[in-house]
Amino acid sequence: MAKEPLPPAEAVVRLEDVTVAYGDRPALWDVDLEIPKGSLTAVVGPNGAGKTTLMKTMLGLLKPATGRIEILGESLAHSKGKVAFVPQRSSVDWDYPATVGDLALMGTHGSLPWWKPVGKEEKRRAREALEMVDLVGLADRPINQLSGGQQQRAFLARALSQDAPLLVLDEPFQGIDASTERAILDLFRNLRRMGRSLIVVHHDLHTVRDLFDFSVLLNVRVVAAGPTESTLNEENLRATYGPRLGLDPRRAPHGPYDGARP
Amino acid sequence: MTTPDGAVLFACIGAGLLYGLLGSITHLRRQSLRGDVLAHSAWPGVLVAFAITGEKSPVVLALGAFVFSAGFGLVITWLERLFPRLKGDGAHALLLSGSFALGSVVWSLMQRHMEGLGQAGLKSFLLGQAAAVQWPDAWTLLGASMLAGLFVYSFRRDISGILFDRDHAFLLGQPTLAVEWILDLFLALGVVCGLQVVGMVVLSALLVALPLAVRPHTKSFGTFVLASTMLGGAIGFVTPWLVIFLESSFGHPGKGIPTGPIFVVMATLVAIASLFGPRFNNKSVATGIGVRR
Amino acid sequence: MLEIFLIGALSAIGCGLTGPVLLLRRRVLLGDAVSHSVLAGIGIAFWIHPVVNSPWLRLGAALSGCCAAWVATKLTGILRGRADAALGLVFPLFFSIGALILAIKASNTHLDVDQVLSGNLESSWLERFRLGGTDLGPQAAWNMLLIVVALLAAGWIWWRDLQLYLFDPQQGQILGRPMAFLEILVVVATTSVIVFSFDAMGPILLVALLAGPGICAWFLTSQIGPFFLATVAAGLLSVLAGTGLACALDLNIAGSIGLAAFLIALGTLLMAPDHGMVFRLLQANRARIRFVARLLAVHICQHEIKGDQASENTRVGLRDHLKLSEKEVAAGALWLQARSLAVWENQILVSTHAGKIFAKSLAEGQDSTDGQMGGEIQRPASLM
Repeated sequence: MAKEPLPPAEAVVRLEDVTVAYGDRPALWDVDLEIPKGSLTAVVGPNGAGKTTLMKTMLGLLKPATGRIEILGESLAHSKGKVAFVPQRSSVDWDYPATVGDLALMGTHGSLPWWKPVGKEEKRRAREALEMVDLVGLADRPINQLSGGQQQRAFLARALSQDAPLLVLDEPFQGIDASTERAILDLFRNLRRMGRSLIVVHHDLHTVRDLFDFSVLLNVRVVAAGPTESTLNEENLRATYGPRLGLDPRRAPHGPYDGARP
Repeated sequence: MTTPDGAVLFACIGAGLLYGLLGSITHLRRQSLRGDVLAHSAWPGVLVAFAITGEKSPVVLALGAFVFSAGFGLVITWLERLFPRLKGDGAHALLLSGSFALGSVVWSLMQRHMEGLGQAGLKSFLLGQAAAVQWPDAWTLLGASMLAGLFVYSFRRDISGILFDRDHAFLLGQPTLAVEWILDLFLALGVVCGLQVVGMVVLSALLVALPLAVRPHTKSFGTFVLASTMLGGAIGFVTPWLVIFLESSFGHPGKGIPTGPIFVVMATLVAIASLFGPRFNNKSVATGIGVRR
Repeated sequence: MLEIFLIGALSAIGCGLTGPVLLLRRRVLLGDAVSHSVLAGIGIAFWIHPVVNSPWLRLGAALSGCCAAWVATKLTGILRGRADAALGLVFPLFFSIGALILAIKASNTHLDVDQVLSGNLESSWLERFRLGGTDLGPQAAWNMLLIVVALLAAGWIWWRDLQLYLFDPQQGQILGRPMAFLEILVVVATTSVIVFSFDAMGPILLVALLAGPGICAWFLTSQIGPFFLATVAAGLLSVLAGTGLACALDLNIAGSIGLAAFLIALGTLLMAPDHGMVFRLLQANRARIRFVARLLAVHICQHEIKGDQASENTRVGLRDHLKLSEKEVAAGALWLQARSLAVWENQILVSTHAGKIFAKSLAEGQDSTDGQMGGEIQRPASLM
């Protein structure tokens, strides 16, 4: 697969000395990170490496114990609305009364003061977002009647209609079939061509190699961060996942009753 | 056939509107029993307000009730944040029983130390006294539902975003904490306004049944809230007429049929019918683009 | 007095044996719902056989309580796990049906909603259990004793299945264990505890005994056996404290037992080891200091290598660069000093030899004292 050359290095996210602790256990330790503008970045690491913590911290949903965070050259307090976040699908109640179209419109609500009704501009943005994820035909469908892949695409539409220069996605491929995954990956590539920056928590090391031009290997500390080609090597992966690399890091743990019950 | 008393009719409509609206919000917050708990915790508030001031004026009592139920509501929220394992109904059950126990202890103290309490029992408190409803009660309920409606309408986008996905709303810059607080206060206010009029069993039934009845047939936040409110108003309108009809058919002379239970039974039956009946929005969408199941 | 205490204590044991199950299945308010729902049964029984204090009333109460609980359980499934909505829909309906029947049929008797809903422990011993003319104690105590024995027997027979039911009922179903039966058993047990003790305790105070001691135990132990024992113990303590309080201040006994249960639960939430509020605050404070100390150790070493320690490693420099408070810098430095990892020299924090080794091991990710780094803990931002 042909790779576009990296755009000039201007940071879309900059973290300096960021440490996040739950109790006395650091979930992120002394993270210094610069993610270049216009890149398609994968955050990779084993379970409990602090990937979600990193996302939430850089968005301002978690307060770091120390350190500084800049998004698009500004402090967190000023970045409201400039980052579109796609959380894990399981984090919301899909029984909520909303249609796919409502969900897409939600992304535009941040830029709308409370006394103004939803106008043509907002509807256009929502429609465009739905077109990008190929869900226009389902705009009137309630979200509790969607399949997993459709839910994920509806979530993406909400983020796209926000028109934010930076998209942050937490495990967007969890529980999604292969064809939807391919469609979403194509979408990522298109967005990148349009000049958006994307940061994705991701598991599948193969697609990371093929698609993402920047990688962050995380295991509480940043083990390595840089262009994928030079970063994603055997040595760094071993340092991230430990000596048992080769086993799938997502391998499900044994259930408490495996073989031990009648 | 006679017509129902105007105050009773409008109080029922007001209660239906108010609890339909607030119920749709508590339903989406997965706190359907919160109204019941707040209603129980208003009881010690009423008693304490009376014990301190020695007045039986409804404003003073309502103020006491509001302070207590809003306070207990905040304690529940706080406990659930600090101790996640109390989520669901642990914190609710604890505060429900705690406030009620406090109420009965205060009550027994007051009976011993205060003169002229009378034997005002729990009955009116539990089922209301719709027969003794005055016009001010009706105006209070209608006013509260207008106020809550105005708030929910003005901030409909913020509320809907926050209830669906708090983190996302926060990142969009929507005022998450303020909206959640105000919704909590509105629930406490609504409970206190209706407590003396319809009683706690009726209000907790309406808070649950009305949103449940309309949920299967609505697919957007706006229509859901509106439908729940309107259904409440409609049932509130029908109930007094039904009571009069039943009284003329089955009632004993001098002994009326209570309005509250009829209200509850109506709302619950509508909810059950709609849960098990046909649905209006379930037209199968066969032409979905890119549907991959 | 002793008999009142005995009745209260037996109720507490009954609740202590059912409360944990309801708590773990997130259905404590089932107690509240059942106790309101019994009114329907009382109303119908009274309609058929209009005599106050007949055993039929109690039978009707038990049946309608069971019925309401069963309907609520089924409805929870239909509503995709919304137990709150299911309970909230069922209990007002049953209560209202009962209230309607009583309003129409029982307008001139003493059977009153007030009487059904407010417990009266003071007079519960008046009804005696007699056998062949001998007075064997209060009827209520014998009823509760029967329930407690039945509960213990059921718990003994289905102990393993009960654990499975509480932990992972789906797994239990796959293994072919009688999970549906246990569901019904729990409903029946809860209802019978409530029906047989509510004219003594009153329904809301039963919820106090179901929820309060259970919550105490939940914060004190994590094993299922001790959980039940601790619940019973906390329940007995509540009854003891409540009756004592009521005697001393001349209060409603049931109310003060409920209040005692509530206060004991709140106290546990504050003081419990590991999970309690106070412990957590202390722990968080200690953790913060340890954490700041590590941060300082690594930071001063880095600047000593760079050579700009004179400007960076002062109190002010550390405070500003690491975004710490002055107090935190002082506490962290003290932690390092106490382990001779660093010392203050001319207002500059200087690392010792041991401190450099410590910092090196930290920077390389081998935190010997921290054990598991980055364990999978997620907490909301509001806790931080």
